[in-house]
Amino acid sequence: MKITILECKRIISRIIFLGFMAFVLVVSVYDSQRNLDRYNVRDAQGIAVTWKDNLSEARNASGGLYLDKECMVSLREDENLYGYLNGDNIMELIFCNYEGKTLEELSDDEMNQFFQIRAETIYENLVMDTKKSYTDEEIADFMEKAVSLTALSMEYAEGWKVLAEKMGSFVFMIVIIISVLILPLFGRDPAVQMEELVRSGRYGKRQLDMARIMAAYLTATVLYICSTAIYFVIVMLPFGFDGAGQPIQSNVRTFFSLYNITYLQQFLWNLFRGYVVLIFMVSLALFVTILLKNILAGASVIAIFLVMLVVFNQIYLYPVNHRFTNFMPVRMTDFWHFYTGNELYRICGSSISCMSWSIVVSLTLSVILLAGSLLALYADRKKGCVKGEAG
Amino acid sequence: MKKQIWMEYRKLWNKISCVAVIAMCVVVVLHLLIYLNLQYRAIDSQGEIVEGLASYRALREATKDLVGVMDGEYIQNLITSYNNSFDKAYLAEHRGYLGTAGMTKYMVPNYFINYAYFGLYMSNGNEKIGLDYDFLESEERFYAAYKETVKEHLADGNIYSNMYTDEQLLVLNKKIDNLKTPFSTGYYQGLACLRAWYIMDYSLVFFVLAFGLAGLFSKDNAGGVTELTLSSQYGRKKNMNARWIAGNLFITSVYLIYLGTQLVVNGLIGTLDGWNMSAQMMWFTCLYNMTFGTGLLIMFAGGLLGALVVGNIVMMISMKTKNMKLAAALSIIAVYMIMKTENMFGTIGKLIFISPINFEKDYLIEMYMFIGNTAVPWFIVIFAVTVLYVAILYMVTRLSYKKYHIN
Repeated sequence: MKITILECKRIISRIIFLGFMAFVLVVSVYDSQRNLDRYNVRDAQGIAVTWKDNLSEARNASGGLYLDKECMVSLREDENLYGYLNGDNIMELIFCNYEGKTLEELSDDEMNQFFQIRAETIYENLVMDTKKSYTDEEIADFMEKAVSLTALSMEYAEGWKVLAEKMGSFVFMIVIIISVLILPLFGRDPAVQMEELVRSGRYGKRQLDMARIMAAYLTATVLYICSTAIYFVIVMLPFGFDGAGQPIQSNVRTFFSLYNITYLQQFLWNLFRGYVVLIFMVSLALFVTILLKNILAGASVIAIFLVMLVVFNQIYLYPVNHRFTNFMPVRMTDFWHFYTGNELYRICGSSISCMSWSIVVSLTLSVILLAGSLLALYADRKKGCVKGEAG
Repeated sequence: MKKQIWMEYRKLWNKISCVAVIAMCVVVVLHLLIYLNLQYRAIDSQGEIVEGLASYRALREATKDLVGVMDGEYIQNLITSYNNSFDKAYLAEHRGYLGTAGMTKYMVPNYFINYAYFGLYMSNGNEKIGLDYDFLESEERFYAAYKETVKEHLADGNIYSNMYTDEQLLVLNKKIDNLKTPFSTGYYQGLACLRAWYIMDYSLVFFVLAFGLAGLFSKDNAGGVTELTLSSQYGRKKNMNARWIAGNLFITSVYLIYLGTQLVVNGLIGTLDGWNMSAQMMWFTCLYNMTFGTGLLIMFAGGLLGALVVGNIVMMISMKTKNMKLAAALSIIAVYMIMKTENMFGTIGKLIFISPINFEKDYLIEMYMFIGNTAVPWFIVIFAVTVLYVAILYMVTRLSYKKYHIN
């Protein structure tokens, strides 16, 4: 353990740690500022209602608010009844559910059948999806979840909505930075000829290898927890933490989601998914640097691998996404499609959601990469290879 | 000096750059093989649907009887051929075929004809491949309609981009009138894929350059003698220039490897047929009397200029930091920021020439910059901007030469 701590300190010096945290802080504040700016209501003269007033009004007016016929009727009579933001949110959901119809165009029957229409739309989308070719049982399972939503609370949860919106790109960026920070663990710096010295020490063989691998995962975990905690607090503070228990269907982007979960659960899922991506990237970084034994060569492979994933993401091609990119960092941190894509994997006769299966595959790939790294280290030890590589 | 440049050039091909170049080539090949195989399908000469990589050669075979000059006779034959074809009946039954990467031999000439009708609102799809237009009665009417549409397209597009004044639009209209018709048409799918994938994967070159050139002026490279050689009098005068020239040769080499990989893989899959076809078949608003191949060569030249700018930025960072890892990290951030500038000024606008990520794009063929009422072709603008960029970067790098000391 002592060697592990030493290795952790070697790669994350105090300056690097503070620099990393300062970077996280700056990004979080910048993201937070941009989020809040979206809540400023503008007119020709400039800002008519500030984000503070806008959010405060929405919070006060949304107590006990449910999206039902009564809400729609009263909103039709007085569009400012629930405040600007709540009214806007409700209108967006109505527009989405009734395929472009506005509140004024809705009949009494349509208002009564809000959830039935939602379920019908979901059913149509499932049946029409020729690429995924759902079986009757799968559609029945989905519809069971769809019809189970019979009431939709519209209470204030703006902070959680914003968090769900922005968290993916933040997590992706943090994961890349962390995997770059751990590259020096096994990648050798040609200018520093310490490797031979360290390797010839008493604990310089298997113990050092194991300690470095432990240090990689430990450092990555600590940095991930610290950075997401800072991000969470800074993004959420101006909005307040209310709304954690509200259903994610009150957000227009996840209105048709078949996951009947709350915003807090969604956040925890996203946090966990980000951690799985981190484990994959750390395993990949270890594998590449152990094989190439050079920091920059390893970094170049990882950078080009990530560019490849971004490039692959430019064209939507179902087979590529289904068999490959769904398990890779870029799409794993693009959280939305997990909640609304309804993608399934048929494994040994049972249908598993993309949400769960992508985690299983990603972790399996991480284990394979780790096993490959251990094998490569074992082979190096057998050869007695500690020679520094020319940069 | 030549020997010195050669030695410096060879030093640049170290493990880091070799690994990065191999990774780039692997990504390019995979991207092409996977997407071209899974995405496209074609109706062959027998009326069968061919899927995967074989679809391109099947389409090429089917298109043989449609290769030619689009004069009046060609257009009438095309109408007859299309109306009696299996393809037309198939497209009527499968409404989403063309919109989901399905291909037919009629795509190239019919889309071009449909552009003359739809103009700015032209897109691919089953609804925009028919030939039921009055202006097809004669060659003269068709090309007059086409030229009129291009004029409208430029004028309507200008409402959003505000690129040209009314006088400048008149200058462009004259160019449209001077287009030599009839145009030649045929099969170009291999070249069309080459163009699309060349643009899509272009940023990979920047990343390779960021890693390959980061150690060019660093004090901490493997040899450990850079610090000594560059601090000497002879080193400052000659070795620096030798390194800079070698760096530019390295940029050119990496770019040519990228381009070569694209050419070989696309050539093997879809062939490079269509090189001599009129450029207007691909770029409807191209105002040059040139072939598709010439247009591609201009884009390839633009890509090299963009790579030279980015490579020189990396060399400058390497000189300023004198630390390989720091230079690589800063270069990656610089490349990322350059990529972010792609749409910084809108997808079209007067300032898009600032970003090297836009140097290889279709703007080179379709846009002009005006000095007064003189239309300067976009590729000349890009060339001038590159010279300016490289000259400034060279001067900034040179300023640090004199301060290069042993620690």
